[in-house]
Amino acid sequence: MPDWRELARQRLGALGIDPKREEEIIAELADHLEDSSEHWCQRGASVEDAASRALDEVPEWAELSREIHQAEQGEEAMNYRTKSLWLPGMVTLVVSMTLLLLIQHVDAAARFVWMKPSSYFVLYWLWLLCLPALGAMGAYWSRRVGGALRECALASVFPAVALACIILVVFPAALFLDPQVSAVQKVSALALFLLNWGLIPGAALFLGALPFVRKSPRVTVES
Amino acid sequence: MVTISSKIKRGSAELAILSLLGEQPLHGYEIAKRIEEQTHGVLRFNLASLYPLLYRLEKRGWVKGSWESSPGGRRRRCYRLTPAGKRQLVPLRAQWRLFFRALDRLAGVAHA
Repeated sequence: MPDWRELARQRLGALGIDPKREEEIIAELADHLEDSSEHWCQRGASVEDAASRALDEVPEWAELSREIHQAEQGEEAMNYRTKSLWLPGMVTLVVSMTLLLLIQHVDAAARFVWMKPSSYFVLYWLWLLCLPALGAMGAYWSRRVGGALRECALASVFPAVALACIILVVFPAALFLDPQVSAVQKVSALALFLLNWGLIPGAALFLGALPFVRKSPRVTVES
Repeated sequence: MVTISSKIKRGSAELAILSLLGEQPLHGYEIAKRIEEQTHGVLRFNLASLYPLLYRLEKRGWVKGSWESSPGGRRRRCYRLTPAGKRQLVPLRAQWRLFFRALDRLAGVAHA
């Protein structure tokens, strides 16, 4: 019986990956070759013939080595999560923030302001009107690259989630350090900010994403 | 006998492997054997075609391999479906169903 591990190691050559993982792969392939050889032996083949048939499962060891290397390095420049969530989400965030800056700069009147001594609420209605289109863009992009419902929905509301996260981290720290403001005012201000920059924009973004979040997935045939 | 081209096989391999592992954890050789048996030899995966795909699926987090001792005492790397793989299997099945229906409407594949 051949030393399958040694045989697999020699034929594969250096995989160029973590040595521990390389050993694991060699052991696994050796197991497969041994199983295959035993199968042929059970069918009446001689030990040499069985070993030869087992080795026939790999027409090109160099090709197998290259494919394993690629699989271990990550098959594509971007993984699934990056393609279907982070990239469309970040682009949606950048576009929405650029749009907000432009609206603030060009048409300062395009906002609704509600001010009280204890709270301050600003709603950029023109920006909000544009958000469904951006949510649709994020969701469509994610769907197009094979994103599941969750990635699709998250990519569309990404700007609102990012803003809410920033508010939740920065705002309490700044607000709670101020001893002049009462606790009730602090909490109501935080709630208003979350409503203003998280919940309402999130709802507007998700509204645009709805047709893509509901639709059945596209079928793509990869070559 | 009609043979299936490697491109079609490659496309269907993910579904075949995930479906099998959805039933029970298996090691590589068993996966190849089960696919061949359950498709009556129409789909065949050898060492060269199976393992790069398994490693890709593992890298994506859809399957998880771990060394386990078999009843015979041999240690094998067994693959099981992860929660992410289970979630992936549902849309993958739907996509293939959709694909076959579309192909059937176009070329009458089911009646060919």
